[in-house]
Amino acid sequence: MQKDITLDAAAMEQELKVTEIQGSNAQKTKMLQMGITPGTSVRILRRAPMADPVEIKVRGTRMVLRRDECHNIRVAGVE
Amino acid sequence: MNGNSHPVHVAIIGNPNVGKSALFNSITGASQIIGNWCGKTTEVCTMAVQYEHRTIHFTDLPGIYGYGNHSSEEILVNDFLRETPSDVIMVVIDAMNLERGLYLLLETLERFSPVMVVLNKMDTAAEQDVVVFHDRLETELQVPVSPEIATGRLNAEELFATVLQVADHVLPVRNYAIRYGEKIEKSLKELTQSAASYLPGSQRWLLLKQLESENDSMQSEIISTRYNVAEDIATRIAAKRQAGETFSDRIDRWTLHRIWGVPIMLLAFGLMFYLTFAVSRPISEWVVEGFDTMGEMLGRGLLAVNFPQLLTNLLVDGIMKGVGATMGFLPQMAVFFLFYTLIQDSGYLVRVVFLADRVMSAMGMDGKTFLPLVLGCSCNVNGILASRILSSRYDRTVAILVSSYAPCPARLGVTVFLVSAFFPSTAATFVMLSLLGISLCLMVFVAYVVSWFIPRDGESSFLMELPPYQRPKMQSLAASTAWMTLNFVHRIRNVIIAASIVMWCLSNFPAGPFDHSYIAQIGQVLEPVGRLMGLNWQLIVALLLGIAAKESALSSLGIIYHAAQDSGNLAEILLRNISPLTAFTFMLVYMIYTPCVTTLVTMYQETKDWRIVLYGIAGSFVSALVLGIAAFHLGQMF
Repeated sequence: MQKDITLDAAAMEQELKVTEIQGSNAQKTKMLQMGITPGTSVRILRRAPMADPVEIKVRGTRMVLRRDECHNIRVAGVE
Repeated sequence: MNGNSHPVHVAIIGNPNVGKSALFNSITGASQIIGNWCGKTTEVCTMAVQYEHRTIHFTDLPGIYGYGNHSSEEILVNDFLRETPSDVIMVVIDAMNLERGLYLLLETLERFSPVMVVLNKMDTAAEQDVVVFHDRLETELQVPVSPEIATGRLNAEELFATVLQVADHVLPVRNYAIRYGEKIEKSLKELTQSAASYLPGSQRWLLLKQLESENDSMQSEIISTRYNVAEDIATRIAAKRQAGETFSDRIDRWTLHRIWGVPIMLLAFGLMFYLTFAVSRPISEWVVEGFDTMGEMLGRGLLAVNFPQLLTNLLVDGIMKGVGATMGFLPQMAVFFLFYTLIQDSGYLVRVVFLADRVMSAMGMDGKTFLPLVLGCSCNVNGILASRILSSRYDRTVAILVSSYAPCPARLGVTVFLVSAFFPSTAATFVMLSLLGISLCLMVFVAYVVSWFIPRDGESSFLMELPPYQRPKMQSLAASTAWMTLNFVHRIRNVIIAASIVMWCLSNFPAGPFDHSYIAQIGQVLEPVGRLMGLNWQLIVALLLGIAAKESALSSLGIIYHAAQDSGNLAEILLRNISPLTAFTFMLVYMIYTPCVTTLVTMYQETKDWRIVLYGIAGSFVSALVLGIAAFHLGQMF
């Protein structure tokens, strides 16, 4: 396992695993309930013009979120 | 049946965008609007159907992902379920998005009984080579599962029969419980022992919620465990052929492209505007002419039966003309509603938000506000209605207030006429662009100012799903367009009639020349204020009459300056009477000073808060006054 980074710092199209969700209670609950839970695979598919928001693939579906939300998702690379 | 006759209450629950409202519509035959959008069902909607001499009440609840108590949708659903006991909880799951649906189902099973499941969008799943075995889910969780295709044909009878069986406990009910990790089970046990004395029944779910709220790592573990179970079930009940790039993904390669995405979006909106006006303009003209002809015929008919002249004039020149002018906008609105529904149902809306969010948030607005603002440029009412897509109250208020400043065609029509009358073509282009530029800057400024007056309700979260594109269903498109149009007419008819009567009376009493009418008197009283901006009382009257309908300023100016009697046309008369600077100030004020009555009424109906409407009016008056004075005095310097 590599060292943790936040999702906003991750490269595109890289297979990643969520290690921890941070942030405010409301934001965190929403992310967890929508399936971004520790252990889930996540991949950055695309960034909008000006690199924000970001499109990711989680649990076989596509989701969009802002960069500052990505900053609260800690991920690790999968070998 | 066991001769039971009491009514059955069914609460429909599901993730956003699973087709709950579509299902609800096909069950109840209502046409609540279907939307490919989170937070669409802003109001709880209940409908009753009769089946086998029983009444079944279905309640369509907003889409949620779980029973947290954070988003406005979750709070609404939680409140509803607490206050209104339901006999059956119907969980709708999207076959294409099983894990999220199953997560919600698992939490529902922990919380409620009895529960039944509707497996939706099986047809879309089949197209994507995903086969979901609904009977396996049934055995797995011991809940009845109905496979349905909500937007297509639906076997309502079968569904009702299942509902009754579940409600009457004909089918066995099992209390479902997930086994969590050791630490959580231990804490649960401790809590149960201390809580048993005051908590009713088996309240495992409540205790879980308590653990979640008290301990961050436990919350994460509880939700993760539930998701792992959901994932596990999903792999067992669905067979998926490894899908490559779908058709939807291929479209997105263009529509979400880093460089081409935005131009394509602007082109799409441009085309939409063009088509709206191209299609609706001839129809609008027929409608207005139709009302005129009807008015004339009515007038002649009434006079023939010796109906009082004054009342006839009121009916014909006041009401019929006023209503006709508003109805003239209806074809345009209907076409626009159609496009709006199309953008929403197809799933393009989420893409628009994705592309626009960065720019919008730089201006202190949510990305979703982009759509109301763009639509507001076709008619402020459209923009305000489209603000429904925003779930947070703060963002909605911003969207509503800001879209009432959007330069709508009624304002632009008046402005274009005056600009071309007063300025040569190069200057005219420049003047027109500066007016539009000022409007846009003002919209950004208003968004900023709103934050001083209205508190933000928590931080806004952007995270949302990007569902695949959907082929819009013609029937549902037609139904929601018709519904929105009729609903609009229904909501504004009284106000339009009242406004027409008031404006007619103000312009026609006391009898005599127009200069002595009440409206002219009001204009003369307000003249000192107008003078600050270089406006005379005639122009103030045109502004006042413009409140009823923005496009009316030209005809009002015609009446005020007696265009009919004079030899020249309106443009020439205005050129003789006012300076280009005054004309510019007038246009600037006209663009801003207040939205029309219809917009104000819609504003109230969408917010149910008079303060917002008053803020809107006060804000636009103040900005018009400040900018008007500034423009007039700056202009005098040159």
